[in-house]
Amino acid sequence: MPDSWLGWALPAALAIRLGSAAVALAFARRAGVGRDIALAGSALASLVTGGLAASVLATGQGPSGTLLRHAASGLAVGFSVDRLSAWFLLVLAVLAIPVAVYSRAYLGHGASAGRSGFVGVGLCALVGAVELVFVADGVIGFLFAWELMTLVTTALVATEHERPQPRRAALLYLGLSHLATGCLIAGFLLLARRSASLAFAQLLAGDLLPPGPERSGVFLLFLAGFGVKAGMIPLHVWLPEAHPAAPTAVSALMSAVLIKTGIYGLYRVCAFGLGVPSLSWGVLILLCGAASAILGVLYALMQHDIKRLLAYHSIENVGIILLGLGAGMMALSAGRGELAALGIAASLFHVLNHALFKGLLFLGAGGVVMATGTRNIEHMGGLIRAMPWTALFFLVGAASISALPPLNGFASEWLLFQAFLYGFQVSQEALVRFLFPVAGALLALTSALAAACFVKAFGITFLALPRSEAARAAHESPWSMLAPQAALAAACVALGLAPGLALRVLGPVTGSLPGVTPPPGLVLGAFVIAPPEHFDHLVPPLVALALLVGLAAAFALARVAGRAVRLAPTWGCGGELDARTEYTATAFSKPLMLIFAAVYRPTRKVETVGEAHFPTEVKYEAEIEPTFERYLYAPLARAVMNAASRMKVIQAGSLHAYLAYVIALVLGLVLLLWWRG
Amino acid sequence: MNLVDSFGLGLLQAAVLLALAPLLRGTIKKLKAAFQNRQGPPLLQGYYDLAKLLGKEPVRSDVSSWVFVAGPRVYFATAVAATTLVPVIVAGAPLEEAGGILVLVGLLALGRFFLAAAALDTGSPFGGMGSSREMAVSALAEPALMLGLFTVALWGGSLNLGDLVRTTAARGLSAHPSDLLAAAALFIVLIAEAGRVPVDNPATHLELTMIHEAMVLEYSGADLALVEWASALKELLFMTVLVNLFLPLGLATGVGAAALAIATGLYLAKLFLLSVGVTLVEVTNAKLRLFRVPELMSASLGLAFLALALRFL
Repeated sequence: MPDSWLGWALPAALAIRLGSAAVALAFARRAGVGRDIALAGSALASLVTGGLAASVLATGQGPSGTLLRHAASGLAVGFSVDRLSAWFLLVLAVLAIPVAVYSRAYLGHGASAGRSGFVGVGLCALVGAVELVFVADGVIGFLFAWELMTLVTTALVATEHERPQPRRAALLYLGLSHLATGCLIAGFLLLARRSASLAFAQLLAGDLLPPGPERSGVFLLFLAGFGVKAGMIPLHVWLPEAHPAAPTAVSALMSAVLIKTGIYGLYRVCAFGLGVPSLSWGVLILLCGAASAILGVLYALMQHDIKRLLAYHSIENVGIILLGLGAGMMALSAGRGELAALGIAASLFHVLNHALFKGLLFLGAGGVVMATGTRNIEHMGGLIRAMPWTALFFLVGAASISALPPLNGFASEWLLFQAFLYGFQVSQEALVRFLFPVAGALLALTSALAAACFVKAFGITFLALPRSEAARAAHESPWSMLAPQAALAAACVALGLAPGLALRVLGPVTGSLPGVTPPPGLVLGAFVIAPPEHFDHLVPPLVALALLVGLAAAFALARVAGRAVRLAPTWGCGGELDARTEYTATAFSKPLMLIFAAVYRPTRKVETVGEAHFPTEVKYEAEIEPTFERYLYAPLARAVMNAASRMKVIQAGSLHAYLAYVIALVLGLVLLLWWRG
Repeated sequence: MNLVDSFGLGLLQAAVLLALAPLLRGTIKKLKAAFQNRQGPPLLQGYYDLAKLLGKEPVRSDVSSWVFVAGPRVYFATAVAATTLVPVIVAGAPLEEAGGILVLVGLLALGRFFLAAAALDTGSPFGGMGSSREMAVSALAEPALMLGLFTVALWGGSLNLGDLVRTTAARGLSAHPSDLLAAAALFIVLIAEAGRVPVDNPATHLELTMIHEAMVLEYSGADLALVEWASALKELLFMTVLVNLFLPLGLATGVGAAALAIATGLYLAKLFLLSVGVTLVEVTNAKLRLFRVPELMSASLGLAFLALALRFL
């Protein structure tokens, strides 16, 4: 019975996760066994989830049911998988399986191997919580899963809690996440006032609030709440701290899947749960997306910690995803269903693509960090000889995130350009006609800067001479870590060559959203994308074939010339060529730092020791101003601390005083009730 | 037209443009010399250089990896693939089914990405310097290029170069201020992408000023020949796009011998005119300081934006 299989798939997946986590905890003393059980359970459950998602996407038949019922209060936590949920579940499964395979070798290595059992359990629980977020059919289940996700993530970020940086990152994440959850609870409560039920089917039907300031207020609350989790600028400050602090396998999952819960929330509630969006909502999301994309990549350029660099690129890519959603919402507000479908398909396609290439890049970075023991790319270099496969896979991911054809990043950004330009073509509103081309130009700048950043990240990490002893002694990751990277790299290439594979599935997904009408003939077969009215089209295999022919010609030319290659040392400008004379990552990004000095506001400190003209030692320090942290969050934090210290007056620490407060509160409430009658 | 024919035509077009590209560089050099009252190198010097380089023994750094070898080859391949997307003498590109403006720009970015990564592979500080500067300048040129092309594309109603040229050819020559501004914006991008004065100087090897030349400093023999040839092809490609978008006169719509002959003649004449323009800019300007280049690029972006605004707002 396929129906019953579907109905049971999700509870089964959750049960496997729960069960394997419990068994693994029982083996907590033997970290290796516990870890393996938890990861195997996670992979198996993700396989089930992936099967469920694929089935829902193929047939449109979404199962729903109850996970838990509390008889006394009548409270029930249920799930319901529609096409949108299934798309996000697919992204989750596609990432969670390789990450689980990778983690087995990765977590068992290094200083925190002793607690790898707990990390494995955490990973398993995190995937389960995210899964529950994607399928929850009511407020209670959703918020429960949301909080579980936050807490597990906090614990995972604090894995290496002996060091201050992860502790700080975990606290920052916890604080901001709870601020976000507060916003969500407030939003849901405002909605619930108008509804008899807490089930999403009624709450997010879109007819509760008429257009007006109240509806916009609720929208803003949800935007803030989900924006924090998505890492949208200016709510992003936790992300570049938390992603690098967690074990790399967890970072991959956080970047590829966890921040997508914020995107999912924006889709489920902000875009399609509050009725037809107003134009201003779309504009706001578009602007936030543009700011995240451009600032994300600009900050990424200045990072030399490879995981921080990748974390800032997550902000950039969330920006790109939001650009598509914003364009789609602007089109929805004008009632242009076909245009909305373009923007939303581009956005959802990029959700998958970002998960693939960013997961790939993080897994590669994990291997590099494991091999060299450092996250600073200035201490790497030359790793392509010791780690040829990691280098190759990282290069695929780097080209893909830089939106280079014929890889998947190019395909989704291509579609986003179509949304902007075709949108410009068919819209009349002055605001749209102004914003869309500007957003297009910004997108072009973003991808060009991303290319610059990944030339740096790849070149400094993998090419030329090793810059440290650790880099010299590096060795390739084991096959169990390389195979997941190979699978993800293959997926990047496959979706780049055949974007139709994903877009054909996405057509019905966008079509299931209210107000969106996918244009017929957008996807012809697996290989052709063509927006309406012959506006443009893309056939990636032809591009790839032309490239191959060119490549063959180049090799043939060099071969016909036929002279044997001679190897010689690089000329070191008269001196000895060693790691110290190589171009550094700092130097590489310096021109862009000076060009965008208005954004970075760099400061430098040069100290010389010894005589003025013949110093014995020169110390150079450069840093860029953390604008958001310093001017937005620092005053906020100070204000909170001030308020807290004022409140100390009533927190005397004496039991009598507290009892008095309780009595006063109860009395007050009774009086209030009596007075209200 | 079936796919095999398109591919054949694309190959033919790529081969012809490859054959033509060194001549274009020779012409510009000769013109420059003429403006400066010099004799200049022979017109065919570019071919002699390529032949000589191809016959030379390539020397590679012993610290470099396969990326160093792949750099020039991918660069060359992207330039060749990009030519198949561009209409030259017929109102249509051989491989226009594959994609339009976005694919063209993406392909050139792919080549640049590989060449810039390869430049970091030898450990020489020059390579890093060139790579860093090239990526910075091209990152700034990219939005101007896109916006300039978008302006034309939106007016023509398609992002496909073949469709676009057919529309503009049917409309005839236009002197709308928007077209003039967009052409000016794209001309600046052409200067930057071709590495010409005032953005870069292809004739010097001075470490303080080099951009592109520093990036390819470590190449020799056939590797260098591929880079040089692809760069020449890329320049020809940009100039072809520019003349065919803004001066779409005489593009053949059929395959009659007479029409093709006229189209070829006109195409060469337009190219020559544009070369004179490029040369004039080269001889009348000094190279800009690296950190003044962003101003030029933002001027280009501003022009493109004005072009868009004039046409549509």
